[in-house]
Amino acid sequence: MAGALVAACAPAVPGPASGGAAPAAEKVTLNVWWFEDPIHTAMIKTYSDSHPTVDVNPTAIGDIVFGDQKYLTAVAGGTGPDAAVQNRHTFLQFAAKNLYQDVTPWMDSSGIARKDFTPVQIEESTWDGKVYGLPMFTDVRYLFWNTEHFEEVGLDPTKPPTTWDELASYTDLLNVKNGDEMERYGFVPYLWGNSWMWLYGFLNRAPAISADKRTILADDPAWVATLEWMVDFYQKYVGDFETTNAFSQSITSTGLADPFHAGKASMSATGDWVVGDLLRIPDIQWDAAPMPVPNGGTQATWSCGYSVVMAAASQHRDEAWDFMQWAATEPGWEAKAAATLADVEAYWTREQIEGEPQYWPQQACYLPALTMLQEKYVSKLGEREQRTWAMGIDALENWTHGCGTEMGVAALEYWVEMDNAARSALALKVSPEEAMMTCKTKVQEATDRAWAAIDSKT
Amino acid sequence: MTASTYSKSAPWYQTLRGREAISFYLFILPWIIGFIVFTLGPIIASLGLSFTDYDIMLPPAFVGVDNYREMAADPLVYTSLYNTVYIVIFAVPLGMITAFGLALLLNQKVSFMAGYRTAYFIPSIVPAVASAALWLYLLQPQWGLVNAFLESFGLPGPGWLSSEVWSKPAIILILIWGTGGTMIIYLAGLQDIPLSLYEAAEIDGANDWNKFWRVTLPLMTPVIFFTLVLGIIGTFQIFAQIFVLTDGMGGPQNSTLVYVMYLYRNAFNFFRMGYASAMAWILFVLILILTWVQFRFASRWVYYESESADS
Repeated sequence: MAGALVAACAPAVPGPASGGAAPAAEKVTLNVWWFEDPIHTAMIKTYSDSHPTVDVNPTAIGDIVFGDQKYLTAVAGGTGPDAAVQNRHTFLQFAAKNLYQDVTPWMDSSGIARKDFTPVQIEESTWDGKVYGLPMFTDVRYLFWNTEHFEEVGLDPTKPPTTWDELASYTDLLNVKNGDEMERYGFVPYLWGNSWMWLYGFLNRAPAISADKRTILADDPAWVATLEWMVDFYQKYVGDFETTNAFSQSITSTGLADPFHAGKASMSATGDWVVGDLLRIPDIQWDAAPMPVPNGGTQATWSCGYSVVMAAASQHRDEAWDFMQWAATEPGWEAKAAATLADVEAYWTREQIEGEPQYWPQQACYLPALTMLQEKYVSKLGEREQRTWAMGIDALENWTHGCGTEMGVAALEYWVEMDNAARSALALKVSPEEAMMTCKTKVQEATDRAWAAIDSKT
Repeated sequence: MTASTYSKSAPWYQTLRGREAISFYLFILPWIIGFIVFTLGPIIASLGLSFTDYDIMLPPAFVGVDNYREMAADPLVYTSLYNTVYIVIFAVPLGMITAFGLALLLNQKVSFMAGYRTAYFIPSIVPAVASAALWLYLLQPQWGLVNAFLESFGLPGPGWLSSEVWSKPAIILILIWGTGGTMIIYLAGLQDIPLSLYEAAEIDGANDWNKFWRVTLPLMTPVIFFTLVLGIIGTFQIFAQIFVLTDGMGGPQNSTLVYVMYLYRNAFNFFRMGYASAMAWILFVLILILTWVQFRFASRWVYYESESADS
């Protein structure tokens, strides 16, 4: 409010703006609900510095992975920001509820097109043929392995397991026990890293949702088979679910992201961002490859990430679009990369890590920005990192699943219920079949409710 | 009095009583308005919403008692209710006993008493979120202080918040730790007991136990009753600590998913405001019944001096 008042009272005299040419019009205050970390804050500053007629007022968006009560309640109340970041996991669920402004007209009259984005991520931002946000960044999940552990047990460190049978036999070899107690885990599916049920289901060709997004397919035999495999894997190679959970909690509470980072797990199914973490821990020797595939399965992974949207109640739509476009394309990415690089350099100095600072960029969804990141930053990294980056590009083009596309219009319910299904089956409380049936029933109910609301509008 | 003779001729608002009433209502008006707009209004609205399907974006659609019917068949409602009742049953009495014991100790005449009282009261002024964050460290299974303490006695420390069995006891422990508010109320109650009663008891030859059992405890029953009622109401609504401790998930395996957290999940994660409103009303009715039962049976054990004077 204060910002708006200041803006309204701003003198019409041109200030010492860098752009200079046009006389400074009334300054617009653009409310942006944004990430509040230093890097994203620096992006806002760069934008403000280069746009003298816009005063960006950033506010923390809060938790937007498990629903976004702040954004939703504000927009439902007819207020809210001009632009905001949103998770693509729930994107269709919210777009279908008219929480986002259709930005197709702005996109059509701008220099960017749908084909300029990674295909899965632009599809996730599209509802009913209309684009409701610009995808900013995404991620991809792979198998990471500790090459030293492989050598230690006589495995070739350049040859990761490629099938689920190999994954099991490697895990057995890599497990280190002290009596009954596990000291190092070969591989822990689902619970550690960042794979969830979804990764294994997609590898096993399990379908999540029908093409029209009305039918939940969690009761498909492929899901049941996947969960059965996982329960069996725990019983043979991992052990008790609760003990394994406590083991990883004791590591994460020391500040490390994961047992793999601590050298307490030999293989990990997790996301590409981990490369950036691992580069900061030179002690861990690692490599990455696509996940092993089950018999009759297929190469697969899944991606999520964030898009930038315009809120329907925005009073400054052109400015909001300009900000969205800036944030999703090269200028925004250059600002972000510069800020991240500075952060990486500071970390290297502070922690006195040997060698050059190594910056692993997030994957941009805007293809020219993705190319820019590769040419400018990834090319400076080692062979292993460049190979991993190329694998990510290949996955984004050919074999990844979008979290939002797969979960449809009851995405939150699907996420929670799939998680409940896996946990209750792994804790041996219900059979895998019962677990998946419960998931199907509950998410189908939520999906039906969501569709009833959507259909009643049209 | 002059006012009463004056009131016979003057209009009511000029009487002393009338003017006093006007001042009274004017002074409490800000609170009344706030109460109606921000409390009573939403309460009534939520009763209406509980008979609708409402996702915030679309206008509420009337569905009759569907939400209540669905609740009756929702296993998570029962799970969350069980978790809540479990915590209430243990945390409320244990918290009261701890607070009472502390109050007795802190009612002694020793030096530095103000310091001790402050030390035991501090946990209850720590914000719920901060205390939850602190307990995450204390209860950490491998390096946490609690398990280190247990291990020094050769006891195996449990997984606490990562264990389905121990997660609720962990929550109860945290609640007991923050019992300073109840302790202060007991302390005030203890100091209110007239010394003459103890003197009289001593003259009659009462020992310390008799004095506690025959004087202290009976005279404290109104205070105990008060803290019991408030404790049960408050613990049924437990939310913030567990939300922080479990990242809003109520894990592991829903073992700490308490009723209000499940209500919150339906309201603000799933945007099922109608269903969440129905849940809120059921909780309200449950608490109302429990409180009524407590008042109903209070006369059997709560001793009020003013009443007994008549009998």
